[in-house]
Amino acid sequence: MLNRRRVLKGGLVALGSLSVAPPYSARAQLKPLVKVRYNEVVRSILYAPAYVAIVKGYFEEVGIEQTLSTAYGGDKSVAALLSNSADIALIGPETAIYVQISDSSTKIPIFCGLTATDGFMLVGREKVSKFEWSMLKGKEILGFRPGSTPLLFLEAALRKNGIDPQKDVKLSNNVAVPARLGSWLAGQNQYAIFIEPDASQLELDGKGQIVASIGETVGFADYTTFMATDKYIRENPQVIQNWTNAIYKAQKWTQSAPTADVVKTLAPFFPGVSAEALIAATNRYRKLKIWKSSPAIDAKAIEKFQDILVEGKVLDPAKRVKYQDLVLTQFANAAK
Amino acid sequence: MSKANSATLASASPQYRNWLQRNRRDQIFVRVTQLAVLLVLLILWEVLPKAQIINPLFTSYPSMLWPTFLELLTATPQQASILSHTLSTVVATVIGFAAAMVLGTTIAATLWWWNSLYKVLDPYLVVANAMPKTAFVPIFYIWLGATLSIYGMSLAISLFVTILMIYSGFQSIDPNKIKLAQSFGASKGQILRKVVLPGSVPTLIATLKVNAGLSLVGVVVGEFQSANLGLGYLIQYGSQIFKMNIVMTAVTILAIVSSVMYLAISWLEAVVMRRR
Amino acid sequence: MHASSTDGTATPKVELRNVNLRYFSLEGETEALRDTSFSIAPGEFVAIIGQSGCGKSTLLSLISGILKPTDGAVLVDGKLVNGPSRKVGYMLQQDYLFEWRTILENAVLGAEIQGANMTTAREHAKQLLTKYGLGQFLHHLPRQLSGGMRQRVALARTLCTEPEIVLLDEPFAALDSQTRIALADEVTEILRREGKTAILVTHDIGEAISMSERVIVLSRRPGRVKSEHSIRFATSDGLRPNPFSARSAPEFNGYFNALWKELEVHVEG
Repeated sequence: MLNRRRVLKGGLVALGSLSVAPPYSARAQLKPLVKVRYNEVVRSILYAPAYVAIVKGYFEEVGIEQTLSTAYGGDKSVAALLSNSADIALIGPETAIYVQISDSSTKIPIFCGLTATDGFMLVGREKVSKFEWSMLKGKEILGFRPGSTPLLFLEAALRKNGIDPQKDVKLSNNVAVPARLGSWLAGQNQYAIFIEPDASQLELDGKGQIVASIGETVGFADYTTFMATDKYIRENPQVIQNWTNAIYKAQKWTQSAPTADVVKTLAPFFPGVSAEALIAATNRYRKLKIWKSSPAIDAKAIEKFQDILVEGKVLDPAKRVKYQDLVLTQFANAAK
Repeated sequence: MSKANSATLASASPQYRNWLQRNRRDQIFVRVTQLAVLLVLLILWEVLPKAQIINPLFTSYPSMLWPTFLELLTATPQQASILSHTLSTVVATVIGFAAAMVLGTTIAATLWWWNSLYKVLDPYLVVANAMPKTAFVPIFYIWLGATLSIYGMSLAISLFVTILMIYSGFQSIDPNKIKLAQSFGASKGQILRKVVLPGSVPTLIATLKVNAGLSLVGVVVGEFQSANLGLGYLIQYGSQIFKMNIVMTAVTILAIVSSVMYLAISWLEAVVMRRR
Repeated sequence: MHASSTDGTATPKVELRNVNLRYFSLEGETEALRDTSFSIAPGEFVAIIGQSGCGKSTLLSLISGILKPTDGAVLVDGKLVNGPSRKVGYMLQQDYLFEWRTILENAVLGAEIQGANMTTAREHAKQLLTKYGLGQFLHHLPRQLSGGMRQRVALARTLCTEPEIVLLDEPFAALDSQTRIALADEVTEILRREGKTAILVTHDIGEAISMSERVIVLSRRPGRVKSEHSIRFATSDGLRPNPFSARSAPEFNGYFNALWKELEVHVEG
């Protein structure tokens, strides 16, 4: 027999269980979130999957609460890691290599990949129907800071096409990074390397033509990677694995999601960049496979990277590091 | 060392001899302590990183300075010789402070000549002097381009302080000397040439000392931003490729360069002051 | 009271007519001289005394042309003074030698400014300096000389340009009393021998009496000519005694007391 009290009690219990039962997405929050101080070397569309992971909450899903800071310089990023003001950093592998060969007792091994190769585009001033690298002979090219990977990769691309970077072209490497765009727009140099979305924006504005991709020319050599101090990795292996998993998820999403969705996710990180440029950049980077589809880093890629460093005379060939000392493969291999 | 000549010493009282000895001992003590301090610093710099108390990635070692210097002497296609780098920085500095001295003195003289102009410009000069010129590095870069921006920094950083110091020196010339010249019927130009400028030589030397140091700072900061040659550039480059030994070598050479400049100016000061 | 020269007909060498001088500043105007008039004959040696701040130095600046009167006229040789002139030499309270110039270079400063022939000027300066006992120090620097020696260089500098009128603004104030008396003798002798018209401003009553032929007393600010006193000494040869001897002359005390009273009276002004 339906007793009014029983119905009320049952209703109250049902109501109560609804409020007490945790919602699905917060189930992971039953354990307190691990705080990870995440440092990226610069703000760039090259790192799209990382921003995707942040926006879509993939880090929270694996129990990580990350705070993002941008270092604006590889040495600053490394300093943050070594002085324990950052836990995980996204930097070019050259920094891990330099630290590896140094006398520092703390090393910063790489555990997860993000960008497959250089993301700079070679931009020309005059429109050409078919670009030949020989067109660069005798011209002025706006390069990058001496010792930096953009310049090293540019020089490697030139050499690969039979051009001596010191003799056949004039590289302008003393233009301050924030002033590069202004310098190009002011009419200096006939060619330049620009990263997305600047390259696409220039093309959209009719101020240049993208004639080649440096990364495509040079081939796959991981350009930016996640690293942490060996101490941190030793003490927080689960965090490292969770981080890698979150990145892997983001990489898969970025691969297959419609361009419009990717652009929508990235837009908050790039205020002031036009939607058209973001769309063009996304399409281009996906086509060039610059955004890796998995965190695994190939030994061949690391060797090619070191080749470029050696050719650029910033790495002594006798000091090349061993792949297994530099990259910890277990986390990428176990990523799901 | 005792300046007393042999004649004085021969007739020196025992108390004076004692005093001279104590004096010499004091001087030796000071010198020894100075060297000891330097030695202790060098030892700490060498030992602490080796013992991993400080991360050697951040400091390098003093024992690396000489080998790095030798290595950097040879020029490669990528990198000029360290001597070229040093020359570039020194030349930019000298041109900068020379220009600041000449321009600064001319402007100060103009302000002295037309007092109304000084009254109008005074607050602007004070503000311009107080502003940190290093904040202007990117702006100079855009206005003047890579090479000229370094000279621009070198000049700008010392110009306003020069104008103010020299003008103040002009104002502090004894007004009675000027009255004296006027009593002979001297024109303003004669007063400037015969009284104010020669009377301001100590101020000019003091200003030169300030200028040289500031111009060096300006050049190095400018080079951080926009150079491919120079000691500031080397510091930036070495830091970029994690070769702290290059950075430290460049910094050491900077220290030597600034000391040499200061000594040169002190020598000039001694020569000039002898005739006063 | 109106001070006048002994010879009323010839043009006075220096004349002030009803001169007013007011200093203007943001705090207000200060009247330094009010309705001052006197004249000085060529070759006369006149002393002007008065309390501090009564405008004595201002008078000299007016005569030298560095200052212009607010009212009234300042005349030299009957012409209005319109700025510094070669006729007037001004010896200031201190030597103000330029420490970066040698003694000789300091002495020819005036000649240099006035664009005179430097070879002649240097010769003249050398003569003057040698006469004052500084012949050994021509190429020394001022800091190597004593106060009295430096003031002698200043005198050489003043006379090198051969002025007709010499203004002396308490030139011995910065020296010790012995040097002061010695220099007073030397300077008076030189100026009298060269026939210069001299105007001495001083605090020191004794100095005024021993050096000059006429003493003009200025009242307290605003300065006006209060009185004048002719200074005469009876000497065997009818010539003026030198300042040192004048101090022990019998007339000295009389003049001293009279002038002292004049200055004391002005305490209440």
